Amino acid sequence: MIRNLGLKSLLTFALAFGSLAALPAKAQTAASTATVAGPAALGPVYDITKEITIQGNILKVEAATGGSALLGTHVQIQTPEGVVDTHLGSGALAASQALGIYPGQSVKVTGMMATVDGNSVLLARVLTTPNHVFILRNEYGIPARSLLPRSNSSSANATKGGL
Amino acid sequence: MRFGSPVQETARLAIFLALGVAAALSMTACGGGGNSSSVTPTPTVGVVIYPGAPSIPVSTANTPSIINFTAAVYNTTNTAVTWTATGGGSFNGSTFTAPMTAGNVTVTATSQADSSATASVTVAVGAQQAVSVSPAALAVLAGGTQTFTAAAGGAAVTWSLIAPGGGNPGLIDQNGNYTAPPAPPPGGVVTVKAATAGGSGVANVTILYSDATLMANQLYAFSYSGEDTAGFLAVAGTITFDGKGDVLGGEEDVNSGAGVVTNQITGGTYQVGPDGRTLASVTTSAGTVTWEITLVSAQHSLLVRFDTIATGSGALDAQNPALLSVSSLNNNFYSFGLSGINMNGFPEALAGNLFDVGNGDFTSGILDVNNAGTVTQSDQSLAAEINILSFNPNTGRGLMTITSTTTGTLNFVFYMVDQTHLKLVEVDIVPVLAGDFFIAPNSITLASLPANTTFAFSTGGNVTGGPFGGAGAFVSNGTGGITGGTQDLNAAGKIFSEALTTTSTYSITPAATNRIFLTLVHSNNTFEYGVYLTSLGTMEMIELDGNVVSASGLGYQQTSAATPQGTYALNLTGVSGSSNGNEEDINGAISIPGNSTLGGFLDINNAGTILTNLQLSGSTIANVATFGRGTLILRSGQPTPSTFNMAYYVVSGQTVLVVETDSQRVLIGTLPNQF
Repeated sequence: MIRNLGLKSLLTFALAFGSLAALPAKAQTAASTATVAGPAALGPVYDITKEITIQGNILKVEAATGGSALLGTHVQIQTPEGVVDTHLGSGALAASQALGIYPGQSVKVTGMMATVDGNSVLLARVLTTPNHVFILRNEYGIPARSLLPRSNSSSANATKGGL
Repeated sequence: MRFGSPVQETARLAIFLALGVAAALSMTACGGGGNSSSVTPTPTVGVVIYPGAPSIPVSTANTPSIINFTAAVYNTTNTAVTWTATGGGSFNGSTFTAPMTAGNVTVTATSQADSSATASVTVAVGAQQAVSVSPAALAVLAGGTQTFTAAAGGAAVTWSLIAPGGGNPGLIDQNGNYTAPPAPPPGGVVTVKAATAGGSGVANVTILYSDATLMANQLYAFSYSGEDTAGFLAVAGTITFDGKGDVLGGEEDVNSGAGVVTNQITGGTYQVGPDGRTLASVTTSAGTVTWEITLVSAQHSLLVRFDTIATGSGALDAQNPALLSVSSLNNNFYSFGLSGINMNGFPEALAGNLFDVGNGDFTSGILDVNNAGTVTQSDQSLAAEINILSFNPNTGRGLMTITSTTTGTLNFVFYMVDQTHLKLVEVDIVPVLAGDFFIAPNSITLASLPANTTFAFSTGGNVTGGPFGGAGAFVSNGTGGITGGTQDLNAAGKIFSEALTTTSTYSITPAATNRIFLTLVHSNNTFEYGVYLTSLGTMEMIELDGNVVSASGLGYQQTSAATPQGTYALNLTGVSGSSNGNEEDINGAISIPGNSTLGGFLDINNAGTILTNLQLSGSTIANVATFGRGTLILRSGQPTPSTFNMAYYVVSGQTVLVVETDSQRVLIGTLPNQF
């Protein structure tokens, strides 16, 4: 689920995840990049202690349909240190329309750098746009898979929809 | 095939495989702003001839030997064909008359809408029979009728039926009036025999699926999970048909981001194709939904939600009205697997085992939970309870709560197939889990995984890069060791094929429980699973390690490792790169004639982009190598990319598991044998 939150909720989420405020404000060097452990590793192991935060403007939003890049939505973010390939996830919930992102927009991303097929990519966990904070992965790096927030109210109170 | 639920289980796995289809399913290929819209290409016209490879006797001067051919024509409203014969014989309309000499004749049907669309079959014309039966070969719809005549020189004729592969051949009276069975028997062919004191003759009847295969007034329980415009979707229900193309009624429980509701099914229509692929329009109190159902038998079918606003995979199983009672569950153990999303929208899976002590009370439970990477093993606080007053013996619907320290109390609706199988959907708003209960052994030992026995399995889940799917096989030694095996993994489009090492093990952990802790060791990774056996030759599996951050699956005791041959239904479910990683669900009917080729048709819901009647062309299958593993390639022409590279694992002559092994998609699936 992508939490679609206003900025007022940012502090709440920062506290909940205990990390946003403490995260570095700009991209780190390759020293913090998680590499594939061996030829059989199924992908980078997400390590929340290796998270970084980058801030910059979106240069391009792309959809990788397979091949060497991670499948799904990538954004190229121009930071003071260079361009960072950032993987937001896959599916419509990570699409530009769902997230309201577009080239030129200023965004902040917290995630972990990883190497996939020799290319560095930032696995985005938290995406902050001017109006929203999106939780795209959990602390284990699992991508979210539901967009609309579901309330914690009783199912007995839910009477709409469902087709 | 009442159990026949590998596909249902695959559908459950898809919960993990599929990432959210969020703002609108119809926005496929829009993600990332690269492509602006999806385009639904027009499938090419396809032609299929029935019967497929008939054998008939030669014609004589007084007795023509005839075949009544049928052509199914897809993707055009003009379904007329032109029939031609090469090598002898002649046509009158669709009726072929054999030549008076033996030999092979090639019969071709050419679409009148598209002359490039043709199909051909070879007719083997053989020796004259003592009794000439007419027609000598034809295709009959399941439940349909056909009158046969016998030229026996005035001698009394006795009519009888043979199903060469076993099963129900249908009925015939002594006037030659034949009524086909409700579904094709094994092999798909029935022999009609006319015998006299002086000899006999036969006709070969190919049975085609029809509306009657969904039997009139039979209760069918169904479930599927997938995505709709509000995200994760899980549905379970019951439905009845009239056997003639109309939906009679039913009800369903839907858990969607748009709401948690019970809808009445008030009507609808359906149309079964000759290969079992079926389109159903189901009218509910909330609106009309479309299903693609691929029939396996009159008892079991594969189901894909086939709307532009929702997709998903599941199954339809005939319910046994005599066993729709809470008491039928008494004194049985059940193993279960549930998966879906947790309260924050991340994937969650449960697997466990418990005992029905009576009155719908389940105790002695044990549970493993993988909550988006947070793993809890062997939670023995698990219990469950059916609200007896809620149970409706007329539909098999009831309410159940599942409680444990790890999960708290979860509320479910279940639909009972029979005392061996319940389909569950959670009716809480969060989390949202769905899955199945299967009857299980009372107790297990290390020998429950017998010596020199292969188990094939498939799992689905997520890695950090995205969706994950895997399939494999391992060999148990009956004493806690694994002596070999292999595994094919698709981790967000990255493909791995790995052999198991002999350091792999299994144990009953904790001791004296019905839980197996399975460790499969590869050269670089160790996979850990909680395993719960059922009494149906299957095992619920939940991954507990950190290699695949979150996954679950189903294993099967292998009873045959022969290369598949015959006609199979197909369900694939997962995600497609062509739609930015949105959910893709595929049903199909394919034939594997035994010459390394594959044929048939696919129906695809690629995140709301509907593609029907995609004919396979140039598809191939390689023979099984070791552990029942082989490879196959499906080529459908559409969508792009149109090639599906697969590893397959044979479970039996009835079931095959598959996982896609290319970077274009992450799909897992099953192929249940149709006939």
